[in-house]
Amino acid sequence: MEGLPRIERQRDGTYRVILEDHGRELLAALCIQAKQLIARNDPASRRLFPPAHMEGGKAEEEYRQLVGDEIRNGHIEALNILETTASKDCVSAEELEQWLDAVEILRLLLGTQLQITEDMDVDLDDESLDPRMALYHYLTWLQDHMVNAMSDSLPRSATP
Amino acid sequence: MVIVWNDPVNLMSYVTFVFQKLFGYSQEKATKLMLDVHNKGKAVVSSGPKERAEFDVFRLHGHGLWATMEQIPAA
Repeated sequence: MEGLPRIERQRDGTYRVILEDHGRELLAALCIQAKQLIARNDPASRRLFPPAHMEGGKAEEEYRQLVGDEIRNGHIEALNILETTASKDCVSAEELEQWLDAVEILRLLLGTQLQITEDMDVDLDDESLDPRMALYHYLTWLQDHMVNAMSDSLPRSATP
Repeated sequence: MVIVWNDPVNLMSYVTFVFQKLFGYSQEKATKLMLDVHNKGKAVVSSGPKERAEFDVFRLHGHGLWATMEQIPAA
């Protein structure tokens, strides 16, 4: 795939994002679509709100009441930030964290729609392939690069 | 206790990163937990009182991970 992005941490703690305009426009457009899916409770968006209690019931209801809106608002906020900052060549650490959350949301939505399985063997050169599959793999690649770029900033004195 | 379940979408590198970021685990511990999730289908990633478990599940859900909470079975 042409124009694969690169994300580099700079000395001042910000991140340089090397990404083609097309990729930036695509990310912003996907964020808009994702917010629409969430707004209309599309079945694909259910994966964004997994149950906290396997058995459901009253405990699950209470959990939903307590944090349901906050999780939803957090997802929307991440998508808003990626949508509005996707054109920037340099983003703050906080913005890149939101980008990571937003790309996670986009992958979960697409992965659910495409019914991704772990042992799925995909030939990206196959012309009959659902074009969203290439998009999914592009987001996977981007997310992996974000994680690699951000891993350097994790505290070294982590607990064992 | 808080359990994270395997799912086909989440990247191994991302899951490890989230465990390190949220719980302050070392790379080794986070990687081991991620591999347990991947290979065994689930892993217990934290434990504590109900409120703490609820907070951890909430943060994991905020990062797209499939997490649930359960009471530790009586010994």
